[in-house]
Amino acid sequence: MGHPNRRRTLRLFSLAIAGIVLTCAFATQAIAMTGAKVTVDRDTGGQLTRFTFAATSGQDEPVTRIDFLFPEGFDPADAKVDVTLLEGLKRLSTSFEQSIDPQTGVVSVMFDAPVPPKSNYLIQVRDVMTPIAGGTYELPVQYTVEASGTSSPEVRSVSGLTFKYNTPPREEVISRWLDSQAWVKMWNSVKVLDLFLKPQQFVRAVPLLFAGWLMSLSLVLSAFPISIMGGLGTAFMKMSKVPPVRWLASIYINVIRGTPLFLQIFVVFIGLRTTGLRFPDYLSAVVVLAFNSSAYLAEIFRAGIQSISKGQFEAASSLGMTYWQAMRYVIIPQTVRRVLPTMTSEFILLFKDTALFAAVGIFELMLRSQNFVARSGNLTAYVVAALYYLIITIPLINLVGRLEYKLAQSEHGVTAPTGKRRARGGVGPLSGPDFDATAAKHESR
Amino acid sequence: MSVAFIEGGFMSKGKKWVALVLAVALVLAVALTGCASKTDTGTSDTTGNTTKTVTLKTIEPGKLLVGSDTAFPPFESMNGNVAEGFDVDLMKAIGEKLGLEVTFKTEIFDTLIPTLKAGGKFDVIASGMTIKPDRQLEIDFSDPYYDSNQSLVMKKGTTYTGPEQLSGKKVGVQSGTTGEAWAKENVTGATLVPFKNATDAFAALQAGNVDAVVNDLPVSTELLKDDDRGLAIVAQIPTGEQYGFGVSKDNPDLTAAINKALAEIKSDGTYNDIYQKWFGILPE
Repeated sequence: MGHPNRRRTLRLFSLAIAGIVLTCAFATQAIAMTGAKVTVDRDTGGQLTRFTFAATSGQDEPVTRIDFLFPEGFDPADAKVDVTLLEGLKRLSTSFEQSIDPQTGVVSVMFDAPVPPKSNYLIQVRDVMTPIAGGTYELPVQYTVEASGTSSPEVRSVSGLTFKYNTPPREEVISRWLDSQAWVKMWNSVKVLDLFLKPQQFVRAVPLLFAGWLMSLSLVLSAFPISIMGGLGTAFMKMSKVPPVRWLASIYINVIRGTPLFLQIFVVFIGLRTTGLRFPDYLSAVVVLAFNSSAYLAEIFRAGIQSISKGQFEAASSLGMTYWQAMRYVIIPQTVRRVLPTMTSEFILLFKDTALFAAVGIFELMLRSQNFVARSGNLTAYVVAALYYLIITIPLINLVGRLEYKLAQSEHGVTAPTGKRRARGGVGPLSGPDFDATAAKHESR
Repeated sequence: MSVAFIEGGFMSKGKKWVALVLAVALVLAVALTGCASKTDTGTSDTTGNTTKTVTLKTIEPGKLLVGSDTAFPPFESMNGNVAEGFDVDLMKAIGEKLGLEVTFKTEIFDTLIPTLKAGGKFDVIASGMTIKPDRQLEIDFSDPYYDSNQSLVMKKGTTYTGPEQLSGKKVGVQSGTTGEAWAKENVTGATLVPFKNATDAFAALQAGNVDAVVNDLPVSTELLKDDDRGLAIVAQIPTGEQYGFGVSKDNPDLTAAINKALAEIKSDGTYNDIYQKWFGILPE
């Protein structure tokens, strides 16, 4: 690249720089704590926060005291300190005293006996109130090294320890406001309400789970059109006059319907990937769903087509129509109407089945609510997730009921049995043996 | 089934509803009295005092039901349908001291605490659970019985330089664990993928669905011990955490009894035997 001469000077120059840096580092690093860092357990400000200081003391550093100089705006008045000391991975026993100066915001840890050099420090300062405004802050730390022989105790400092958090979003602010309300406290004093319908958690969960809801919905909306095509294709294969084609369709339908969707998901997400065959998560999920649902829809379509009386075929062919023409203009249009309620049911099932993807790390509704529950130890997120599922399923269940009613009226001219509640049972005019079987198998998927 | 029967149509609409309401009321009544009688027998037993024969309040009299995420060897795992492991043996030894028959119940780790709090399913959590201040707000813990650390596991041959390396990557964790909390605080810029148990997280790492897994060191060591999964512990993370048994805050007698039994087991050598059985060495 550059001129050889210039390159040499450059290299010399950089070597010199490195040398200076190294000597500086040696001068300070040899006596300073290494790997020091500060982390916080909260993403947002304006709440009690746990600060974790981790570091390893130097070779000549028997530490007797550590001070945390919290910056302006931080209130450690009610802070509690936990200290974990390790030699390598082995936990050391320790005893210490803590003192807090609320005026200056200094939290001090005084060890009863000097901590041996080269120890791993993990000091947690809990319940420090942080200012609400997010940003990057610095926490200066000072520590005192025990006097040795000639030298007196020396105070050394660790600077550049930064941490950051964000300003809380609106739902977080609402939730904290709820914390202080009397009626919320009353409500939460009932164990069941507190566990399943805690207002604070509810407010938090709704926006957080929304993204998961969209994910679940988009999975099923991408997969369902594919499975309609796949299902139709498979249905025709199953009715084919060529035996091997028929067998192929049968095997596919039976294997898919005869195994849990959960297992199919694992085959694609774990099994195939272990062998090196991998697709993006989203694509894999859509493919599994479509593959699964196709098999069910195939049976629904086949039963629907075969439920149209043979006479219609005969009539169509007597008009000079070919098999496919009869299908296209006579049979399929009638089938669609008959099949619509069961198809909608299948859609509902498929939508609910997206929950299974939680097990393979797709961030849909179920996984998000599980995470929320895991973090909060409160089950309200499950109730919110249930509501999100119901927003989709209840209107569709209603639709199925109405479709069945209309279908029954147009085909028989009679009132269907109160359809809505029995969406899974006999489906009016379609309750031939095939249909019952399909519906029944569905439930145990 | 009774609903279907009612829907069969030989009752008038009004009667149908009455019957339905009655049926629901009946079920509720049975359930409630069932619960009530259980708690009754429980509370009447807690009259004993500091003397040895304190009758402990447990869900099923004479039994100690233990909730555990049994996919966490060598602490707990399922051998067929029998739970085994360090925690299991320790709990059994404690049960022996307390005169209670120990039964393990499998539960997902992140639901252990809410389930224990809700009550009625198990009396104790023995699941390699670290004693942590935020957990102590929810439940009580026994004295610590094991010192643990965290580990970072990646594909074999990966050189690990520090948490910055994982920025933008996917990191698998077990939901609700201290490993998850560590990753959340220390691995910035990575996507955390929670799994319901440690074995699922490792399977995902093996399949390449995640780039790294943060998990308790002794469990990673055990899981990667002899089967060649192409994974390796790339970093040992000193956290100095300590495992304890979880007990409901409503049952302080049980916590005290477990602590007492644990101390006895430690002094009479049973603890060391169990430790050696599962870790192959004696505790330091």
